[in-house]
Amino acid sequence: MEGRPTPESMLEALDSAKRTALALIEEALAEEDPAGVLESIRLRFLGKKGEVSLILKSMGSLSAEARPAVGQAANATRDAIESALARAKDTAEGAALDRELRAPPIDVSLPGRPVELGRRHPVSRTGEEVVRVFERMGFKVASGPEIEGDFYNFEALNIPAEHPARDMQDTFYLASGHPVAATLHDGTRGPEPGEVLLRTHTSPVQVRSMLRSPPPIRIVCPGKVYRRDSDLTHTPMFHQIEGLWVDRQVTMADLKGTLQLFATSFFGKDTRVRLRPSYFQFTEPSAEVDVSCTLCGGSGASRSEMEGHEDAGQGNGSIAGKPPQTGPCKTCSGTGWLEILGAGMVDPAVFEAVGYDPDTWSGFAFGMGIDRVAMLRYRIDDLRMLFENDARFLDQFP
Amino acid sequence: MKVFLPWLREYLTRDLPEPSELAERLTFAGLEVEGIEEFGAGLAGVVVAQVELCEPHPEADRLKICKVFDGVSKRTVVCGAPNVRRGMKVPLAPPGTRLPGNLLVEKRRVRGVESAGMLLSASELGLWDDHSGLLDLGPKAPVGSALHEALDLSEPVLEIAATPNRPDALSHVGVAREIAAITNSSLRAPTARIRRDIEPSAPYAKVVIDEPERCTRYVAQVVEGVRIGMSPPWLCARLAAAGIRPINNVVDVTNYVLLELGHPLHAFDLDLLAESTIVVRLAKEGEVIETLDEVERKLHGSDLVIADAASPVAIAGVMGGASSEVTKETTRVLIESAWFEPTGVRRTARRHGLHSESSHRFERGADPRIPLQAATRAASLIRKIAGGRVVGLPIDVHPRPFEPLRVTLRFARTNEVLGLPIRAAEQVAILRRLGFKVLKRDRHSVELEVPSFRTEMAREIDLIEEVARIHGYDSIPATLPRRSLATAGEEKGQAHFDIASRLRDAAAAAGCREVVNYSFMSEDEIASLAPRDGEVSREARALMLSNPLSKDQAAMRTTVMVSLLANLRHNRRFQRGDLKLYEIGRAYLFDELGVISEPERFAALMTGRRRPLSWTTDGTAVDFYDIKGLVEAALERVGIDPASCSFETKGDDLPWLHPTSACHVAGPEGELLGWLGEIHPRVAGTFELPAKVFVAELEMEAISRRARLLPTYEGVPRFPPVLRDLAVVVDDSVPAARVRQLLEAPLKEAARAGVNVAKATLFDVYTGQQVGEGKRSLAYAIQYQSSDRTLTDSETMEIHEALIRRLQHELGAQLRS
Ligand SMILES: [Zn+2]
Repeated sequence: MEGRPTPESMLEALDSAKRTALALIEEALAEEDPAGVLESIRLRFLGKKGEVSLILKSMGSLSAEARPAVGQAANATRDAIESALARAKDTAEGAALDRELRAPPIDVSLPGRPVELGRRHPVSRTGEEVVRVFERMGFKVASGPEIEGDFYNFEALNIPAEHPARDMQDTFYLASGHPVAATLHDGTRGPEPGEVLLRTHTSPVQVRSMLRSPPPIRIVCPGKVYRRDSDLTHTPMFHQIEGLWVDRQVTMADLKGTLQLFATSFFGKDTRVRLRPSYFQFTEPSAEVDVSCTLCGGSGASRSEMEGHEDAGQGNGSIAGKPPQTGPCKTCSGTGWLEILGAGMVDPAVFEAVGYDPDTWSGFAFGMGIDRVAMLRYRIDDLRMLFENDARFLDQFP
Repeated sequence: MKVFLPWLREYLTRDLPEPSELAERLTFAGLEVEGIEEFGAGLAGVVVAQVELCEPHPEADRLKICKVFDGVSKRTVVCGAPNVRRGMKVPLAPPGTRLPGNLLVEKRRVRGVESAGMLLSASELGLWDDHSGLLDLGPKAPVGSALHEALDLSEPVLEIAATPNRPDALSHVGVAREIAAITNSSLRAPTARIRRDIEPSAPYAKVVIDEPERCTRYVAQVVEGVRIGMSPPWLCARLAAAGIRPINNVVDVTNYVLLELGHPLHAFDLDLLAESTIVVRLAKEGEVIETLDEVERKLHGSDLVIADAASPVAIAGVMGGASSEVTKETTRVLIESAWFEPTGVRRTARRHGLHSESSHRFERGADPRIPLQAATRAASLIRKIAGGRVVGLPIDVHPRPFEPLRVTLRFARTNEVLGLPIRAAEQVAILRRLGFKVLKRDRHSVELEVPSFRTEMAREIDLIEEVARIHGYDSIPATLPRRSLATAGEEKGQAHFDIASRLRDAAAAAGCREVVNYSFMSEDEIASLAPRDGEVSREARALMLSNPLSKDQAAMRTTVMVSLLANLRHNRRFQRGDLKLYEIGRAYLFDELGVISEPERFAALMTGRRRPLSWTTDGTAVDFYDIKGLVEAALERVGIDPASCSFETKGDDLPWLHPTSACHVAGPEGELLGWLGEIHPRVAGTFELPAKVFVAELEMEAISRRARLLPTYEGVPRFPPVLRDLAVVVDDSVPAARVRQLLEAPLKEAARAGVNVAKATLFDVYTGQQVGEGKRSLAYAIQYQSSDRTLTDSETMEIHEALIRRLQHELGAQLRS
């Protein structure tokens, strides 16, 4: 076969290459990796140095008359192989996909890779949500020291030494006479001497805010407070939020409206609010504020009607006939109301202590226990859990 | 204050509403009713019976066989009470009665004699402590009637929690007055006129007040010839219902008047007072007194005492002394009815840790006008109950006559405060019902005299509150303030609050649980924060409480970290050793001058597995770079680029951290933002913790000065970057931050070509044989970026090589092949 190619020999070679290629393509489909084999077939016949390409290159030696026919045949051969390859590739891919789709399924029941979400402490979340409600009413957050002087915590709030009202708050004192960190806006009053204590309420922030800025004032102050008391219903530290609104012509009706708006925003639109006369040294008139029970909606009746049914197993199973059992609501002890706030009109004595003219300015103040609200919201029945920070507790509050 | 309804009714002309309604009305007028209970509950079936015959039991010395008539029939009852006697009227429980304490009375044989029921003592009836024997119902008790009817038992008691401004409500008459005001009815106050039984032939007692400011009035009344004994059942029942144990008839009367009128009295045995003299004076240093509670008390020079000619016989307004106590032998009684100044009583009561019914009332302000009336009332009751003769008129020493207060109320002011118009006539009517007297009135205002039992009512606002509470808070409308000017807020508080909220986001994203802790720590914990024994750091010097609840809570925490370590210790007990915690709270410090500061901190702790135990994780433990990652994320969350901050180890001023893996965090201008690292093994030991606990604290104040919560949009490049990797080998003493700095610093070749190195991300750190001793390889993925075109490989090649030359030149770095 040595020697110059003839048109006949070339046509024959093309034909042979085509037949070989097609046969190989056919066989390739049975291989394990048809795509790889098909690629090698393509290279063998159609690659730069492939059989068909070589034949085409050697066409230069042919006469001009012979070229078109051989050229045409070569192109046809290439097209045939290419399209066979394409078809085979499709087939192979189809088969592969088919196999993949028919493989045994993965175990979808295995747990997913854990995403650690973190947790919010219920007291901190509640406090923040309460603040957000008041922010929408135009209140700004204020803060003040937790280690306070007697003046701010008591005197300026109209609670003089030896007043029985001090019995209402058992106070922690610091061991030695540190001055209170207190620089006032007018510079006239430095740190007061006297006993340094842990604030028993957030109300001293009222005093500091009023001493710092002239009216009008509209602030809320969330924070820690301390009372020397520890038992099932008291912790030595707890959280309060104080509110203060001072302006011209602010009335007790405005206090009621503001708290009503808070209650419906925070506890739900059907929440009702009621005021009961009470006594705080720094407000007058003063009020305890109740909201309708968040659990029973104010009805005072328990919603756990199903509880009684378990005892019915003794008889013949005539459960259906047994009336639902309703007892008093545990959250509000059947009263339908929850006491959550103390409030009142700022006492003129407080205005005098901070240098506001009580005939020009009026205002209201309120204070709420955040821990109690958190316990109500999440139905936490053990106060001590709040500050033990047990992971099994914390994990319940996403 | 416990109020017994049958007693209360005595002072009202109108029927009381149902107890629950009454409780509600009182509560909504400002006298909170905390509870309603029944005094002498569960006595159904017990009847008044008369002992007709009483004979000794033949088989038992101490038992008697009694024939008893219960109004219907006669029965035999065996009784062991020492005081049983013929003709006595006593409570009888027939068989089948269930007594308080769930005791079922049954017919039974006692030493061969059948006993059809039980005769009862006050203790057995659950009424009051009395072990002297059967409850003697007295000759007038109606035989056959139910005991609870004969004695006003099984009636409601209201528990009223009077606020400190309402001393007037600490008595039955006071509560009745309040009810009369609320229900617009009238009060029927008890009256007592003194009847002089005998005219004294000589001065029978002497009263001297040395301290007229502390004791403005002292009334003394003597009753002679009293017979001390048990009080009649009705009186015992009233005292017991109000929570006071009956003692003897004279003492009981003083308590009765206290509960009736609210004025504390004291009864002395006059024969035990030296020279029959009362001196109201200050205690002398070193004087002691044994009080009625059998405690010997050392008196203080500012304690006001009642003394006789020799020594103190009572602590004024607080408690009487044992030496002049009324006993069985007493026949001459001196009743004290005085007015003591509140602050003094309070100081003394607190100093001696004594809180009595008497001090409770004097501290809050007793009625300065009532002493004479109270003494008279007591004398007439003693005369009635204990017999005896009233000697002369009371001695009334009154050095400081009481001046009633006058207050003017402007009618319009009520509306201005309440936001509720109330007619002038109604305002006046309410105040009159509460005992105020109209002195002057015009269209706009009224001048009133304040009743002596409401001395707290000194200002107009006090009167407005009175009007509001009686008119009813529920009639106040709900409005919103008309003015809502922009108000001066407090910038710092708001900023910290907003930043805290962002930091919580970051911590949550890192899988941390938020905790909230007490602000306290123990002394041991403080000591563990010191650098070495003997040395003191700021954090090892805590503010101590003078009255802590326990040793564990003796000091204010100096870092928030200590609380987190304690939380870890707690959780490890419950097999929760994989923990990521954070807290936003304060530390409490003081400087050399003693000035206190309360820096607010963001603190975090990480320990245990990096990822939760799972089939997908390999259980690798957290390390320094986990806590650092959290700190970086937190900074980023508040708009501080962590790359602009420096993390550097400085000296040993973080002695609670491990010296080899701890650092400060400083902001772009070198200001301190916080610290982080592994805890020192010594601290771990104190907290009973394992090694490898990582902690961090950031200062909110510093963070908030640097934070940018509102970023400015900077544009996004529209062309793709070119990515190239670069691995260099440098001395392992070269900080990675230095390499990165050199990679990201401006480069003139780049500037010329309009190309910048957008980012160099360290993706591999290698030490080992391949790079040689003392060296390490750092591999970066570098992004080249142009703002105006798509870069080609060859364009970046030149810059890339310039970077390599810089590293070689600055750090002696070698390219890793
Ligand atoms: Zn309820």
